Amino acid sequence: MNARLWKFLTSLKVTVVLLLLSTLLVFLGTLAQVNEGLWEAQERWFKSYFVFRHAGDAWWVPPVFPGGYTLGFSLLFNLIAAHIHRFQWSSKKVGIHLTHAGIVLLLVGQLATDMLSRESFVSFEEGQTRDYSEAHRTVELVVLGEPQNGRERVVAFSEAAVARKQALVAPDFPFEMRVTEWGENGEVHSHATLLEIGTQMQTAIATMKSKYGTAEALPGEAERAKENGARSAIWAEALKAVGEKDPDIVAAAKRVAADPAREGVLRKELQTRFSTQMLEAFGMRQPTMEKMQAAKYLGSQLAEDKFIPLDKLPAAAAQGAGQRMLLVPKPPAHGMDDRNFPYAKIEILEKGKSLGIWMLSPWIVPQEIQAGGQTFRIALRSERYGQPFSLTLLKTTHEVYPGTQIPKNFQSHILLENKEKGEKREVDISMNNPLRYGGLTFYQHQMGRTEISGGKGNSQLQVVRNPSWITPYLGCAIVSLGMVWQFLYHLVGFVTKPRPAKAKAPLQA
Amino acid sequence: MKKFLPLLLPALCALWVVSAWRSPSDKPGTIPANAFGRLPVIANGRVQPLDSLARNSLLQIREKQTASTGTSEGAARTLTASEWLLELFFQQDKADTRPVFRILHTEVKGLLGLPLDPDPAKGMDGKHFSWNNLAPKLPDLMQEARRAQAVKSELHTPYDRALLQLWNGVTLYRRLEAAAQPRDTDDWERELREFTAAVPAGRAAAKAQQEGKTLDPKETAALESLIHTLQHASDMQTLTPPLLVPPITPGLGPEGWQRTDESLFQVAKGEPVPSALRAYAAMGTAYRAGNGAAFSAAVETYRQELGPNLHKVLKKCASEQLFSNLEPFYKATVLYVLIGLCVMIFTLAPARFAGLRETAHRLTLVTLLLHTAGLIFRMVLEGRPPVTNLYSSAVFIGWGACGLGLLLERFWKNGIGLLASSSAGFLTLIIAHNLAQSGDTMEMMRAVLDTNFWLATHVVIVTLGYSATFVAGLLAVLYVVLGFFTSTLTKESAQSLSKMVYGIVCFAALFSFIGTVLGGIWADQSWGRFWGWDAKENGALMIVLWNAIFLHARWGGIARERGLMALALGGNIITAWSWFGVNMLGIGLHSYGFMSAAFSWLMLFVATQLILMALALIPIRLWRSRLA
Repeated sequence: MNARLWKFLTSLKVTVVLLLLSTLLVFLGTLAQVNEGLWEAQERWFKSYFVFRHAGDAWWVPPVFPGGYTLGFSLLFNLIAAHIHRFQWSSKKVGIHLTHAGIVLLLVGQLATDMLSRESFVSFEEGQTRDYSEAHRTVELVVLGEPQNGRERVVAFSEAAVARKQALVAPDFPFEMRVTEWGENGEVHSHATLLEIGTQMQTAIATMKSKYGTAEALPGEAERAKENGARSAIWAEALKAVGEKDPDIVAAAKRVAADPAREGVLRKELQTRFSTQMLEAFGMRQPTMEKMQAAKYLGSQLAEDKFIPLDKLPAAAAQGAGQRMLLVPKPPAHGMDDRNFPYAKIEILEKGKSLGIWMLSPWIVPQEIQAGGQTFRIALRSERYGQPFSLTLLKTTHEVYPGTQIPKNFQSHILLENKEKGEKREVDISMNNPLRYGGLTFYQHQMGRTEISGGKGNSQLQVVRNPSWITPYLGCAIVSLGMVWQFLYHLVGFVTKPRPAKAKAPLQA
Repeated sequence: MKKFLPLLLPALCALWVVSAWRSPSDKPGTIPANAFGRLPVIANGRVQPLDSLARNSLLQIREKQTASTGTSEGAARTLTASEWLLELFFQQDKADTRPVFRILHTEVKGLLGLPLDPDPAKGMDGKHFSWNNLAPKLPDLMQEARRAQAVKSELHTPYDRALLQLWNGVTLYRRLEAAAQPRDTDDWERELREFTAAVPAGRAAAKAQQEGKTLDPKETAALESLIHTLQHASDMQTLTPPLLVPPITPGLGPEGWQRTDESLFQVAKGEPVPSALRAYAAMGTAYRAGNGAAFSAAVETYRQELGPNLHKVLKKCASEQLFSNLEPFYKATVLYVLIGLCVMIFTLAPARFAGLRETAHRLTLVTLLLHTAGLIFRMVLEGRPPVTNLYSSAVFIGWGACGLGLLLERFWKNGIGLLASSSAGFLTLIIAHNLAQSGDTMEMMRAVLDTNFWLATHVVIVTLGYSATFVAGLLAVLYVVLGFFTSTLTKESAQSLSKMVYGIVCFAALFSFIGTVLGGIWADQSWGRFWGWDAKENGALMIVLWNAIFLHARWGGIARERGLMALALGGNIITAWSWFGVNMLGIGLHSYGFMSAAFSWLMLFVATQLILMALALIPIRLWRSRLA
């Protein structure tokens, strides 16, 4: 290689520039978390080679910027090359060599963690047993056959296979599947719920609109609104829109009612404002999650004045639960708390003959299909990772500090059972006290109490598999050793060195 | 005089500090507010003296640790926190006239129909208002607060924030009011006595009524007395006041404490009457009668009764009251100013004022001792390592920086180290003072953070890393300010500053790296990932990277003296970002909430550092000091 180029690539100048770029990347990647969420920002800024500006990015996002992998690999190269180029053995340099060796290990370890580690979770109620954990973000398509010889038959297809719309063939099953449609994110609502809630909402809105149907009704309605703070505030805003700033809403309403040019505008304003408020309130009032979701969807449609034929809702699929469901495709979600709910439409073929199309979504419980004289169940659910042992949640403990809502302790009391090894013991998992078992680590994540199932406690454990977990520990130990060595080496030299008298001179010698 | 000053001034200051080291006493014959302030209560999830509850509540309501009587009864007089709480507990009609609600936002005043300007005729200063001033418009305040609460905190306008702060204060006021006795009772001691006496008969009557029997007048009266007081208790219950009643059963910890209302319900079920109920009722009667002796007797009896079970709690409360009264960090702030003054006069004419450096040096030792004592006192009170929240991190950064400055002074003996000590100590304690405005600084740790091992290692080491980076930055500020604006920076002193900065950055790199890594290990132990690119983690990583840049730039000869100073100034920005800026993002596991007021200060700080960096890099001929 060209000697000058080699010299340049191994130079400290390049190191400093790379470190500066890294600092900037970390800063920008942190800022980006506000809009993109932790997970998304991490993938885009740190786990990438280049960051490109997208439409809709904040003003400070540069057109292109080296990503975490580019900078990480460059630093690694620069560091190793510099050592090859200028390696010297002396006690003065031992600290530097150790520090850099540790940093190489840290960088390599982080890369290994990125590629090899897997996070999932176990979510269960008191009394439930789990011998698998579930993925946070990926789903799988499963076919469950009738038990044969006492064993349940399960075939799972990965999300990637479904998304590629491959033909899905399980050798033991008398049918094959074809993916006709795949969506990254979508909601499903049952027709019955939509009809029930939609009718209530439309009736309520129609009643409300009729109240403001004529100019004569306005003063009376204003009089009634006066007693209620929220209603009078809406009146005041609507009146402002027609140029009335009078705090006395009844007097203002009388004036506008008498003015044919303005009364129509005021009625329209009132109708729009009150319907917005009613639609919001409707969502809050629903007793179940399903109804809340339905009210939210209907609210967003009605707010845009979209007409929904409640009695003629389109079916999501010709077969199974999809016949009585409405599918609403949504754009992929971003951010930490939002997750995608993919959906798929599947055509089932028995000996080449179509049995029809089913719709699958994590929102829908497993659906039955009949083929070859047997019953199967198919579902789209969070991807599962099996374990050769099981965990049973015996008891949850959720303590707060007295007189407050500040959590003091979350603890799951668990029965761990490994039939192969004949192990059966009870363990506690709490914050800062994980369980390490079988190459996995279980951390206490969330905890709650299900009101529906008789106040049973539930618990969510985070499950991490990270074969390279030891590298940061080793890397850090080596770097720390090197830095302490270097620091002490200089400090001892500095303290024992005789100080020239001049240095004692005050600031203004 | 010149000869004695280096001894006299530090000795006087030490005396000033030591003389305050005693529990506050009460004047005989008056209502003993301090003895009352030493009594225990559970608020904010922890056992504390009523004095602390009063101080922290006033901080939230009035932004001060004291109250004022207002001018309704003649000239305004200052009320100590405990005196104010006494009144709020036992004589609410009077407490309601005290102007304790600090309201500055004009729109909030408009909402409540309060005068915008001082109105001497009505005795209003235009900033502080009493409960009685607010009462007529409370429904409007509640409605507006509900609206603002529904809005995401990032989208709050200044009006929303002022509104919610006031609403918070109003809620707190009402909670305290309901702590010891119901609001609308003429004679709580008598009511309580009648209630306890009526319990057996009242319970029997209630049972008889359920079985469909008719009650005779005596039974009816007993049942009515029971219901009357329980109605009061359920009114108190809705306000969730602090837990004033310690457990009767020995050996029960904080979980055994109850609120007065809970306790009344227990009594109605036939449980024994806790001594706290009777004691506070007796204190109330004595207070309203202005009978100091009877009040003291009630307090003393109560303490005797608590003694056997709650000996430790009483002792802890007395210590905490002593600590609040001592105000070590306030006194340290004053001393840091004094040190700064001494050093500045010294640098003006070192030959003439040589004694002043020695004075400042000894003063710094005294102050560091005081600062350390304050830190240790807090640690003992909390049973925690020094840094548990943002407030204590500021106190600790100041302590670390002061120590480092003193260390520098040992080697160079030219006053620069002392100047760094005093300015770092002063600035961080001022920041801490402002952070304390939000209330209790000894709050309990959430479950994730509840581990003394990691708080003692990761947090302490990483905070020392922050301290060191700030000290390096501060020295760079001195370098640029002295060099650019004055002609006092000589080649020698510039070189010694540069060496100091280098040494401190080495220290900072070491501590911030080890601290960051320990944080990673904590994260790996707690939630299974060594590094998660969380905002606070990234902030710490940036400090490590920045220190690495400084060191490599120096070793590679890429930046010279002034370039390195600019880098050290950049370290200030990065550390401030990591310390405060990331909390303002309101994201991540470590976030402490959105702090909008601090944001403008942070921006101002960043701007000044950028200007200084630019000055560090302009051609040397524009500098007043001749370094070339």
